[in-house]
Amino acid sequence: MLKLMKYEFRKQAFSKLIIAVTLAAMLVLYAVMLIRGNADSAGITIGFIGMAMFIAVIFVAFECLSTYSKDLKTKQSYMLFMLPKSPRSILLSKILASAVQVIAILAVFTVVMFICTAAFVARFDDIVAFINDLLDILFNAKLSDIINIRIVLRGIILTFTLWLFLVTLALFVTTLANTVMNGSKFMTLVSVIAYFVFSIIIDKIESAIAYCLLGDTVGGGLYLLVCTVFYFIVDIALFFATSWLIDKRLSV
Amino acid sequence: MLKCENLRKTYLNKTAVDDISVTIEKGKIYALLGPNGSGKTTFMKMAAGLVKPTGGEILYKDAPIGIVSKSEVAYMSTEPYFYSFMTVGGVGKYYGEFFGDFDMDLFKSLLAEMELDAEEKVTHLSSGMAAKLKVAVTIARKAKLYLLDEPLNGIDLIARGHIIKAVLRAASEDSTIVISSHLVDELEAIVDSVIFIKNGRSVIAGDAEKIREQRGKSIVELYKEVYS
Repeated sequence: MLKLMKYEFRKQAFSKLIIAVTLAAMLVLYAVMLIRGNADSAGITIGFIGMAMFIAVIFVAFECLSTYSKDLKTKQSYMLFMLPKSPRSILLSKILASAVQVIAILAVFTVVMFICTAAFVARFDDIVAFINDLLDILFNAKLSDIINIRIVLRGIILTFTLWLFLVTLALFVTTLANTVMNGSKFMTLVSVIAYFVFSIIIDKIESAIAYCLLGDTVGGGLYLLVCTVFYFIVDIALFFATSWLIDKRLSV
Repeated sequence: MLKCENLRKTYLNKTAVDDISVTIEKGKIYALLGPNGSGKTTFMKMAAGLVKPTGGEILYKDAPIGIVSKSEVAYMSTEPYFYSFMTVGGVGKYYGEFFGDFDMDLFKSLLAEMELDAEEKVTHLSSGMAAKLKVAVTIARKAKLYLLDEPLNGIDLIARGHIIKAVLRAASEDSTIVISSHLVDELEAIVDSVIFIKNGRSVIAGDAEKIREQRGKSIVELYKEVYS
């Protein structure tokens, strides 16, 4: 699994280089703004870094799909499907590699933005007061006064489950299209249409189930729970369906 | 070792393999013969697990093609297929990481024999050098079944001798080699058995010497007769 993931990282290395170079350029610009004492521009640059983080996460989250599509369309597919590895482990390595990269991007950008904010405060405000306030929050305030852990956890789990749904649905639809329409010039178009059709159908099913269980209630903890469990089950089903297609039907 | 019954593969608008029924036995060298589009590559890819049959059956050691067969079957495609970011040495490292039967020392000696630089990027190789790399990395596996699709394509005359020598080195009582090629005269001297594929069907299959005796012709002459 780890070896498969290693080569997934390697296949997607170029985009990380682009992200790194872009971030480096923004940091250089930020450093210049700080040195020149231009607080407004420095603040705007931090905002741009935040936007870049958002774009990078979206891109990386779905890059596994473009890599998989390329795996299926080119002869480089032989390098993957000749291996004595089960379709499940191949798929799982792709999903895990994507998840690890998303987390890494989030972590790196978060640290960078924290450092940039601290530098901003040090340059244009009272850094000692900032540190004292931070220490006060960390050691004296209860965490529950600042954030509701349960809501945050629910949000993270639901976000992850929904992201997983988008990825596993795309992997399924891509595999299905390649299985049924291998070599057809309409394959990509049909994949995209099928993706939206399946998304809508699954969403309708989820709404129907939520209505059966909870009535007209929309939102709230219980609704989120139903939503999370439903999409988690769909994720598992799509994963195994894709594995089956690769094992029994897909030709490269 | 490999058994096919009424094997069939159809795509949207084409039948690549119509009806292939052959048994490939252990310890022999087979020539898989046929013109372009006859179904040789599709057949090999089905045996390698890259293509799924539409009909019929293909079994490796009496079991469906899967993880076990992929760990013992070494397939060499006629097209280039290595990841573009790899170096020559990196290809060997990849094979070594995923195939338990890969012999790194043999791979390195084959690279030296074929004058390939391990640091060279695969995208910088000429078609002939890329072909040599494919042969080297495939033969460096101590596989039970080798499927070599046009291994002599793009190889110069002198290098062909090296390739054939390397292929013969891989042959043993425990391994089987299936080679597809248009260069029938180069193969005739080394193969034990032949399989003629025409329009996706196996038309002649059997021991090369017996076929020569029965038909009173060399394999090259028979090839011209079957496909003319």
